[in-house]
Amino acid sequence: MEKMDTNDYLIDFPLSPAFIAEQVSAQNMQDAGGQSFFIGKIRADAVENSSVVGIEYSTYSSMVQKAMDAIKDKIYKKYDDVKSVIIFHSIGLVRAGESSMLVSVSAGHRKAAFHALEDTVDMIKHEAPIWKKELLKNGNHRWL
Amino acid sequence: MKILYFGITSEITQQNSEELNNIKNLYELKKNLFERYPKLENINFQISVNQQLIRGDQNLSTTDEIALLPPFAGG
Repeated sequence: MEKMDTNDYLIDFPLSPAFIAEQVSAQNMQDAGGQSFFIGKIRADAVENSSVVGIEYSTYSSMVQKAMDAIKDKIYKKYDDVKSVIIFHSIGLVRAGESSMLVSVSAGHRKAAFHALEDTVDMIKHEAPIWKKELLKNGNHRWL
Repeated sequence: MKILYFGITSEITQQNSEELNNIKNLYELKKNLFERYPKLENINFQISVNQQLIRGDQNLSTTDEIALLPPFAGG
């Protein structure tokens, strides 16, 4: 079972399938006709004659809290039809094949659910102070 | 004032944070950091003061929390 950080959005280490299922099923809105979700995973990319074995995530936790709150506010303002948005992101080591991010949007109708989901994921990538240290099989690393 | 280092800036400075005194503004802070950690000059980063991104110069006080933020890479 993952340990919750003091941050509402950050989870230590990978998001387990059980955790993801629990969060998605808990988003049980009676007025939502559609629920979209995105699970970010670690790719075992070929890099520098080696391959990615994992990513170590680090964050500015208090600023992540503010950034994620602001992202959700923007989504609710842009999409009247969105009923709820949930966001979880890993901190620490997540190995190739494991999951590092969950975003789920419940909306009255499917178009808002799809579009708001994509907007939320894009905003997280650009606005949340989160950093990736990519760990390679040959022992090297690189910052992304 | 407290300086926080994130991402590659923590690797260059070999620490997650440090306390600095007698720094009046961001211009002086950058000068101080570039003298002690020359590799920072080659890195693209933003600066936040008390969790607000700052563009340009700004006066600093002893209680400020300043962070060096390389490009974000969540997901």
